[in-house]
Amino acid sequence: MAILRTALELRAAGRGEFYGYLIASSIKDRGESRTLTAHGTLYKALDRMRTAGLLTSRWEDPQAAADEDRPRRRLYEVSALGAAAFAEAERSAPNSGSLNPGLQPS
Amino acid sequence: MSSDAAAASFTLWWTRLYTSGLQPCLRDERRDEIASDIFEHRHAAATSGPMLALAIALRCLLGIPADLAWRVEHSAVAGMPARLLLAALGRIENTARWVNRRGLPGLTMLLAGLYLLGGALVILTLPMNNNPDLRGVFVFGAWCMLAGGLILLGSRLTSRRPWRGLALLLGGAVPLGAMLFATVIIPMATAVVAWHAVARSRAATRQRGIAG
Repeated sequence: MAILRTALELRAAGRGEFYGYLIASSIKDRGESRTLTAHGTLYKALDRMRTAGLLTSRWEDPQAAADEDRPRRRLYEVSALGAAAFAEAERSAPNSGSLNPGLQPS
Repeated sequence: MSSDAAAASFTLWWTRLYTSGLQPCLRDERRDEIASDIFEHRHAAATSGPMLALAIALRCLLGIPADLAWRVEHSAVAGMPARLLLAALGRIENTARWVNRRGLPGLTMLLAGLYLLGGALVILTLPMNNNPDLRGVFVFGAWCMLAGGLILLGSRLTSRRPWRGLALLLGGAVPLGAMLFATVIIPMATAVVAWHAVARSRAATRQRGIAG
């Protein structure tokens, strides 16, 4: 939930695609879960969510990374299924209130 | 080599270690992803040095149980041993999360639990005879169990009855500390009491604020 929520917030802020460190630092900034930002926990969770179809991923163009003199990033994006699953989980959670309009499935 | 570079190297070394022997595609993807993460982490940090090194090392260390579980999931080895190992690693991962949520008291309780289990293991694995040479080992096991139990009880009690909790914590920690890790256990037990005292004081301040 923390990953989907943060990823959808990033999307609402205009960052449709995110990479591992970006989501880790965003989760840390929200103070949501320190353990989730650990490398092993984060990438295992991303791997499982990708396998479950909640996220899609692609490796960025190596040339783009080389131009900025950094390793290439793996870019993730919340799929329609992931957004719907998040909305459903929010609806069924007690005291969830109304959904932030920016986090609604597109 | 700076401390953050050393932490980054350690993390990359650990990643190479737990991904070795996997399918090349899977292995390289995980290695590249961690390398990118560390680069971005160091790049985003305003300063380099010990604090950044600690942040990188903690992210690596806290994720080790999940790394191992992921490794087993993707291992070519199938069948019962892998499933059992996976279940055990899942438990370790849950324990790490629990300790992380509870902070210092959680870490102290984990260590105390390990003493309790270790002591029990020592006693249970002793041969059932009256060998006088093993008497010392038996006492050691019993001592570990007693100390672990006292520290566990003390940690639980400290939030409600600080003085009784402190007595139990020190009752367990001091004799144990005389044998093992005195420099770790005693300050930890004291810090747990201080932790709870601060938490109680904050709660009392909040209560007064609400009442006011």
